[in-house]
Amino acid sequence: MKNILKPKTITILISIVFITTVAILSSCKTPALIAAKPGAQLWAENCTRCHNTPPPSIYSDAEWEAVGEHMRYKANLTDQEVTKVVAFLKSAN
Amino acid sequence: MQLLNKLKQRFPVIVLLLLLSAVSKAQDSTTTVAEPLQTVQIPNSPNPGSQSFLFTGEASSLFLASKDENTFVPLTLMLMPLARINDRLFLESGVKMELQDDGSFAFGLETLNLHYRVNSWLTLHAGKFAAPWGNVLDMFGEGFVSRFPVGPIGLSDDGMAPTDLVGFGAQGGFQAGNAKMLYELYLANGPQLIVNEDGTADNMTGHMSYDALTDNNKNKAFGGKLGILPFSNSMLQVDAFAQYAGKTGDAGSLYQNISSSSYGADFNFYKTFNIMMVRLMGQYEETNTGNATYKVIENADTSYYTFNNKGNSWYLAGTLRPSGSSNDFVHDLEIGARYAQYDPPKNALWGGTASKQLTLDLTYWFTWSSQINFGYNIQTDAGTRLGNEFIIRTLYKF
Repeated sequence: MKNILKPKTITILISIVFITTVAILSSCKTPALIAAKPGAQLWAENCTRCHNTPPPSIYSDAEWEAVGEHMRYKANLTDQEVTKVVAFLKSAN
Repeated sequence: MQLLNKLKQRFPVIVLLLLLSAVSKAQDSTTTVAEPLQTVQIPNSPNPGSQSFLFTGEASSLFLASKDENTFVPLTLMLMPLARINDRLFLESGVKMELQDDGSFAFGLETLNLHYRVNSWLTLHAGKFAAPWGNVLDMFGEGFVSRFPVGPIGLSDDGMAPTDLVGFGAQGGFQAGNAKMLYELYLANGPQLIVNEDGTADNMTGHMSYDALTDNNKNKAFGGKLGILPFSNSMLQVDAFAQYAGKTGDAGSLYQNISSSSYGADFNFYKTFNIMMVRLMGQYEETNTGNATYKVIENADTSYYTFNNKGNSWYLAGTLRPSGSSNDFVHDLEIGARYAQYDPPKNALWGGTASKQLTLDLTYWFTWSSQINFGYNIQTDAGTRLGNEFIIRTLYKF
């Protein structure tokens, strides 16, 4: 029992559980309605979490690429959200 | 506590395992084919290039009016160059410049954070970055997002919880059914215990310094945040966060083994009812610092004292914006109210009874991000009512 409670063992166990959980959750099948959300809807929903929605015309296509990447980290957007929102902003630019 | 210390020492193993778990995907799309050198340089080439930059930032000025004085507060300029170098590399930076009384600018590096995206749910980063520590610093850290002309007491630089970090971390976000999950983990230099033996009025002994760039010992702080957006339209976000540092005192000093643990939670909710957008937000955080006996020398007399070094801060706020109104002027207005409270350790030299703050705000949005705020701030500090303030803030984001 003592061996099991060693910090090293606990750390490895936590790491395995954490990685497995993240991997399983991230590979969960996304419901069809969410997967089908267009970029415009994701843009409205996610931007509004923190601030007003920026008009697509204020930045160039290349600048939207940088903004999208910044929001991936700042707002923890998912891969799919970044791709769709940036594509929408570039198409509406 | 020893167990936690040992766990902290093993933290790099977690990061290593995360790396190993994803390394197989890390190089799958970065292979490049060498192009022959161009012998003819075409000016103003239509080739857009593969890197993406954005030079953004914000500038603000403040006017304060109280019973005793009216004053303009010097301009603040924040410059934020962002660079998306390729699919995996991204650089985030921020430099803050504040005009001083003598006309000079004071420069400060707010952020310099290098990101490496390993896969769709894992990004590693290193540098100087804002602590993923509550929505005051994290989500609403930039001025144009904050909606109030002044910050809530006890929850930014004046509080008892992490603000800036120097270190490295891992983060990501992913869909989990209808909900969305996000996480952040970090290992950083961590807080440093302030010890001052002078019996001066501004003695901050027992408080932590959260903005030191280099560490004062070999110990590192580790922490992180877990968040969930339970609804598919992202209208609600709830986060929990924690940090632990086993040693915060200067290496070799009497106080080197003083520990610090902090934890908290926050939420952010928004929804549009008919024409009205409603936003509610809040945060609670608490910090416990290990007890110690501190020495104070005043007028050649030496005395010793100790106190229960535990404090907390919290705030609740709400805003209303008639964003669906057909009137151009009305739909650019937003009103807000916020209550904040800071309870420092009662018997610390810098402590006392709770400080309380009520802030009312009327914002007019010139654009999606540039604004003018008219605020009214009512504050009591350690039981003493400070003069009420009328505040006007103008903020342009570019």
